[in-house]
Amino acid sequence: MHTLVQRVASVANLNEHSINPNSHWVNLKGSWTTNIVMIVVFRFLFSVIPWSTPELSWTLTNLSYCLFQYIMFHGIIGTPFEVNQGAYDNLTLWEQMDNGEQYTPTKKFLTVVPIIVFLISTHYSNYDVATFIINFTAILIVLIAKLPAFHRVRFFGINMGQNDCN
Amino acid sequence: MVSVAFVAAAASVATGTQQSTMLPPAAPDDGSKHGILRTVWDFTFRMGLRYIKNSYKDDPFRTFLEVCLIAFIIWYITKQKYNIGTNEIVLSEKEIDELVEEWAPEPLVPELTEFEREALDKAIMIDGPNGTKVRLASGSTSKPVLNFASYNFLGFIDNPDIEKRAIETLRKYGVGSCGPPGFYGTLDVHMELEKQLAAFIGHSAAILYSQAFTTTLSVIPCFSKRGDIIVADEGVCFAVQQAILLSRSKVYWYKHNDMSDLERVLKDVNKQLVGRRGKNALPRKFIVTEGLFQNTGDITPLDVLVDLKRRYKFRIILDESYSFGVLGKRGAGATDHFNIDPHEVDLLIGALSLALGASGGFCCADKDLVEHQRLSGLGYCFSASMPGILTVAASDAIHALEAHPEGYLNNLRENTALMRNSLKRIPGLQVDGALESPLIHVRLSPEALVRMKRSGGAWTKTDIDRVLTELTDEAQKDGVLLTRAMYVDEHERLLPNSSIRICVSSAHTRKEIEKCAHAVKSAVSRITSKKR
Repeated sequence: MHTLVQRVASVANLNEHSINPNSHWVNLKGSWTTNIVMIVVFRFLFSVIPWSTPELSWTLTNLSYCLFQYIMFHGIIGTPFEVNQGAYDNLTLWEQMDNGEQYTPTKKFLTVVPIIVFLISTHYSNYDVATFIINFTAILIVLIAKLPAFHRVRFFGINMGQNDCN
Repeated sequence: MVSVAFVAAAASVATGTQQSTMLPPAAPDDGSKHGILRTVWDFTFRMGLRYIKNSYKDDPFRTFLEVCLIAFIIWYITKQKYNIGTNEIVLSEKEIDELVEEWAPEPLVPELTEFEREALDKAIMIDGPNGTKVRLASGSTSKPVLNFASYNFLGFIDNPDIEKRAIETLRKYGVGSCGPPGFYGTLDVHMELEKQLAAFIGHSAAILYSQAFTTTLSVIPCFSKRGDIIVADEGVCFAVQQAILLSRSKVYWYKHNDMSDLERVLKDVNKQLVGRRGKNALPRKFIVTEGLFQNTGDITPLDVLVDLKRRYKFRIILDESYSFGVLGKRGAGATDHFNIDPHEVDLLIGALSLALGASGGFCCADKDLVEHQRLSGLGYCFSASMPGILTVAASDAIHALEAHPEGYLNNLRENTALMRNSLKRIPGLQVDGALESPLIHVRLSPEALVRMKRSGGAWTKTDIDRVLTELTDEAQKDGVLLTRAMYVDEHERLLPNSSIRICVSSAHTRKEIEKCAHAVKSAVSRITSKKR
């Protein structure tokens, strides 16, 4: 039933003037800061693990942050709130943000941060090929999910909403 | 690696200082302004070189990937905002002028067709109160005519006892309630009527709406949302069709009153849901139908429906607007008629404006479902509650019906049977609907229509409507008020066949029924003898 790539139907014209309480908070400066703080805390926590090398702690930091981004922004669809008769029901948080507008400041920020983390980590550690591939794949996944070209596009039937798979 | 960004950035001092904040702080500024700049530049340059040396780990491919990432950052950051999904068309000034030039405004009120104008001219206007006998304002005679056009099944419209009580209530509560139920619009009589309705139907709780049409329109979208599933009868009335439309749910239609077709659809729907993942794997699923169909007078086989609902795990939304007060031993509707526990019907919608002759509607359901409507039922939240007088009128009508169910209902049954039998004997006429239904749609039989057409040409809907209008005119001359069933043609999903709608009331006498049947018979014979 699922093909490799599918596009989620555009269910409604998302109203620019209504605030979506599910995605509104992402634009707050506090949540930008939280991203940075989280990365620092991750790095600190993973570095106090006994016998941990910089490579290990950076890899864990990178993977945790990418996993966090994947779950938060691309892994869960819908909204716990009743907005516009379920207009957002089949959309991920990334697609809901800024009512589907692309290249907004928050989107730019959240796209750049994992890359910066990755670059810093390669700089401060000596990755061998395996760890480099693991880290690079992780950020590649979160980056591809963010590309405007993949707005409402689903791979392997992941996150297909209702009414889209028949 | 970051080195390349750095080299690019090193060209500007600003980015250089930005970079230096990432690395150890710049040297203290103890020289002139020029000196500081020079120191900073020197420092960043040296740092940059060291950075490149450190970063380049003898792997050009890795460095290449990192350069790509940096290029991606730059490309992404410099992009302008835009909105996917808006196909905004940009027009030039000239094009705009052309469009404005071409535009011809449509009339606010569309031109009437010839037939529509005739129908409007012949619109029935009643002089004085409604009831089984009415005086027509438009008619040529001042003699009262027998009314078979109003949904006055139990004769409560002109009941003198109810009228007296209503006037007393008017003195106490005034005319309107002046607010929605949530904003000071709730009266004690509303709450009493809700309890009374729930007890009368035999359901857990009830909620009162101020208008019958909007009850349906409000209840269905309140529970069935986008992504939910509605399986509906094709023959449902306009209110239900609109409600389904408003709900934005996925709709599957089954053939009118065909339970085997319903079963096929239910199976189909359940099959499609198998294998669905995520939170949409379990949408709400509803079967929506009417107890007594407004457009045909058929009765839903509720026993089969409940059986199917249990087997395929659906919920039932039953519009009992026309069956409430009419069907069943106590007059409690289709559940009473089929002797089914009303709790089997998850949402039971009824009207107080038809059989009970008051106004408004109600929904019987479990307590939670009713409470949900108090905050989410649009018709409940955003329109003023029912006036006190009408509430008391409805309450009194139920009391009267409860006190003497046989008095009203036996009379209604007998009148219905008599009317149906007499109408069936009329040649050239086709009588629709279930035997128990006092709502009778009569149509000209296809054979009669064929006989009437001189040239053997086809009948258009307007032709048939015109003949039926003639028929009602003829009946009106004999002192019987009938009406053609009218629809908003372009908004009906499946436009029902043209018919004359006869509403039998328990307040009619045997003689009046016979008179009506006789009037129809003579009108039909006069109409069908004319070739056209």
